[in-house]
Amino acid sequence: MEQLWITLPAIAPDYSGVCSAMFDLGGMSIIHDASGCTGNYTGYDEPRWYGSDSMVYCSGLREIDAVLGRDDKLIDNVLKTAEYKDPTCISVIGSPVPMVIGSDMRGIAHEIECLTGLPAFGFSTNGLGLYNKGVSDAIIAVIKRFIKPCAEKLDKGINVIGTTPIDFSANSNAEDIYDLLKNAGYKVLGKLMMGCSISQIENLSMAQVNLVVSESGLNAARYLYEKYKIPYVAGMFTGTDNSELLELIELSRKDGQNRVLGQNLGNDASEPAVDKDEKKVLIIGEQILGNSIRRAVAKKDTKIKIVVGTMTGLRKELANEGDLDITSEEKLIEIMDSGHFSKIVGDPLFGDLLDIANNIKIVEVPHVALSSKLYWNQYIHYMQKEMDDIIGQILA
Amino acid sequence: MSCSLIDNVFEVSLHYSSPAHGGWGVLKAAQLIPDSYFLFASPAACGRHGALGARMEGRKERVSYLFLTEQSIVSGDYEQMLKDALEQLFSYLKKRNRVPKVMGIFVSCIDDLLGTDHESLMAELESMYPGVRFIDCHMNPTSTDTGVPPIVNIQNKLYSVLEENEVRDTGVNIIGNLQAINPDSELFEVLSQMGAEKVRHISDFKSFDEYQDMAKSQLNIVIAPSGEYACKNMNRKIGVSYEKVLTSFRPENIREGYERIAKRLGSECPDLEPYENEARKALEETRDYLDGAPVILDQEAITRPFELARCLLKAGINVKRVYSQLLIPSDKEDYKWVMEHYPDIEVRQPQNPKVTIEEKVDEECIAVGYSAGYITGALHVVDIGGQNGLYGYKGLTDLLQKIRDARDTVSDLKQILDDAVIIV
Repeated sequence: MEQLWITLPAIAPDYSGVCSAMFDLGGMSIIHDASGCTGNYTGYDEPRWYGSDSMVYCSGLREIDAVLGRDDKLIDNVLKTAEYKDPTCISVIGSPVPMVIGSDMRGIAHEIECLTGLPAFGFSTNGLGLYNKGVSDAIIAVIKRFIKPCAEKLDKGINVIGTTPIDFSANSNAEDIYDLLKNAGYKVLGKLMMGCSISQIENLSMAQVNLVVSESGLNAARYLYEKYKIPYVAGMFTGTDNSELLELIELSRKDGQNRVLGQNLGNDASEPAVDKDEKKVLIIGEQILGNSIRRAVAKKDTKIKIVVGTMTGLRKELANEGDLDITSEEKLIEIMDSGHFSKIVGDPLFGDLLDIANNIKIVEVPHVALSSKLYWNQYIHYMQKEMDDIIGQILA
Repeated sequence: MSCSLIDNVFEVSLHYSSPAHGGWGVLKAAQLIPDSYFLFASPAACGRHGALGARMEGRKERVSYLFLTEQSIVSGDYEQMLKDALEQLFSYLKKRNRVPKVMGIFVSCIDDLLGTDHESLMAELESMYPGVRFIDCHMNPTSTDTGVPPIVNIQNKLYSVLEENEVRDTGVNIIGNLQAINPDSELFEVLSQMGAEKVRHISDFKSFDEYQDMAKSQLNIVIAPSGEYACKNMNRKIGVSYEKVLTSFRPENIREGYERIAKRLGSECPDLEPYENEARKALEETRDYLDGAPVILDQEAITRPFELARCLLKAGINVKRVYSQLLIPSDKEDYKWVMEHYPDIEVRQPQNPKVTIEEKVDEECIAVGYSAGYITGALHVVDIGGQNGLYGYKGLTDLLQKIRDARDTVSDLKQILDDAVIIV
C-alpha cells in the first residue's frame, strides 16, 4: 500500500518549501495553521532558524475560526504585525485545514496587499504536496512579480536557481557555488533562493545563462527561457573537479541552448549489463544532484551502471532512461529487495529499511528533506573533498 | 522601541515559534502506554516532526503513518484506507512478533472538520483484531482554546485503556505529569507515612498487563492541570476518585496540598517541618547567592510561573520578567498578587511576534526555561523543559539548586535544544 509508510518519516512538505524559498527576502511569511505546521518548518525543515531574524509566523488558526471562515482575523493580525515588523512583502501559506475549508489564499493575499500596499503572495499549499513544489511555486511567484525587463545583458551574468537548505543545508554549499562561479569569471546576479533579495530578482533578466542546481529551480528556469530567452544548464558541482559543468555553462551562454549535465552521455542503467551478475548503484535523492554525482562517477569509470531515483517526483526532462520515480516507502523496499543493486547512495535513514539479507551497502549522503536535523549538522560539502570521498566510495 | 508595543497584556496575535518553543508533543505522551503502537492517518506533513522526534529518541519503531490523499479526504473513503493499512501493518508487526496490546489511531486537525465517528470505528476495529484495544488520538492544535485541548485529550486517552479492577489497594496514582517525579522527592516518604504503600505513575510499567495495576489504586493525585479531565473520566469509568494537588513552589501551598491528601486518605499528615525548613533555607541561600541577579521565568518550563514568581519574590529573589502565553485559571490568583505587589514585573507572551523586536536583556540574567533563555539571550539558562519531575519541597530545593548552578555557567542553549528534542 503506497500510502502506508511504516518506517520512514514523511518528506518535507510544500509549505516548508515556500517558507524556505522566501526566507531571505525580508518578507513576512505566515503559515495559516494552528501551530504544528509552523513547528514542522521552523523546527525540522529550516536549519537557519536558530538565531535568525526572518519573519516566519503561524496564524494560530483555531477550530471556531475555521468553521466560521474568519479570514478577517488572520488579515487583522497580519496587518498589526506588519506595522512594526516592516516587511518587504507578505506571504500567506496554506496548510491542511485551509485546504479542507477552501480558504482562498490568493484572495486573502490580495486583500492584504490592498490594505498594506505591500506585495503579497498567497500559496495554496496543503501539507499533501512536497517541498520541491513549494520551493518551485515560490520562486516562480516572486520572479513573475518582481523581475524587470532589461535593455541589455550583462556579460557573463548568471543566475543560480534552486538553492534552499532543504536540499543544501545551511553549511557553505550554496556559497561555494556562488564563489566558484565568481572565480570562473561569472557575475552572479541572482542567488535563488539562499542569499536572495528582491533587488536581485528585479535584475534576473540581465543574465546570459541560468544554472539550475536543484529540480525545484527547473520551472523557474524554463519560465525565464521562454520569457527572456535565458538558456539554462541543469547540473550541480560535485567534488573538486567541476570543469565539465563550467564548460556546459559557457556553451549554453554562447549558443543559447538548454542543457542537462550527465544526460544521455552513455552511462545510464538502461544499457545492457556487462554480465548477468553485475549489480548497479542506485542514487536516491534530489534529482539534479543525483545526476551530477552519476556523471562524476562515470568520468572515472564508465562501466559502473548507475540509476538515479527520487522520492519527490521524477522529472522526465532531467532523467536518463531507467531512472526511477520512487513514489513510496513500499516501492523503495521492493527496489531494495529486487537484487539489482549493490549500493545505495542516499540518506542514512534508508538504512532503516535494509534487511540483512539485502546485502546492500549504503553510501551516506544526508538529505534535509528526509532526515531533517538528524544529520544537518554533518552535511556533505558538495563541492569539497567530502564529495570526492563519496564518489570514491561509489567507485570502490 | 516604544514600550507600548510590549505592554503587560495577553492579546491575540500571530504566533512566533521560537527555536526554543515546544515540548513532548502528543505522540511521545501517547507512547507512554506500555505495549502500544500508533498509526497516524493524516496528511503526510502532519506527522513529520513527530516521526523525526521519535527517530531521534528511539521511539520510531512504535509509530507508522498513513498519508491521506486529497481524494480520500474529499470522498471520505479514508476509513477504508485505514482498514487496508492496518491489515498490512498488523501483518508486518506479526512477522516481527510485535503485535501491540493497544493500537492508537492518530488523526490531525482536519479530522475535526470531517466528522469521523471514532467510537464506532474503534469498536469495528476491535472486532477485527480481537485482543487489541483501539483508541482514537488527536493531534489537533486547532482545539487549543477549547475545553479539551490536545494535551488534555491525550492524557485522557492514556488512562482510558485502564479497566475497572475489583481489587483496590492502598496505592495512589500520580496523574498529569508525563515525566515521573524525581524519586528523591519527599512525596514518596510522606505518602508512605500516610499509608499509601504504592505510588504509581504510568512510566513505571513495562507491560500493558502491569499497567492495569493503576486501576487498583485508591486515589488519583492530579499534579498538573492537564490531567484533571482524565481523572474525572477515570472516576466515572473505573471508580478511582481524585484530588487536585498541583505542583506548587510556595511552601505554604505545598503544605496545604499534603494536608488535603492526608485528609482524603483518612490519615494524619506527617510532620512536614523538616522538609519545609530545608526549602526555606534553600530560598534564603539562593537569594544571597544570586545577590540581586535577575531571574526570568517561562511557562513552558513551569506550568504556573506566577505561583513560582510569588514564592521567589517573597523570598527576596529578583524576578524580572515572566514569559507566559496564556494566564491559566490555576495561576490567576498568583498573577494578581504579583502584579499588585510588584507592578514592575514584565510579562511577555513568548509567542507574540512583539518579543522579536524587544532588545535582548543586557544584564547577566538567569532564564528558567528554554524560550525565556532564547528570547532574552540570557547567558545563564536553567535546562528545564516541562517541570522535569519537580514536586513538593524537594522540587523547590532542586529548582533553586539548578538556578544557583546556572548562575555559574554560561549555557550553550543551541546544544541544550539539540539534545532536548522538542516538538510543537
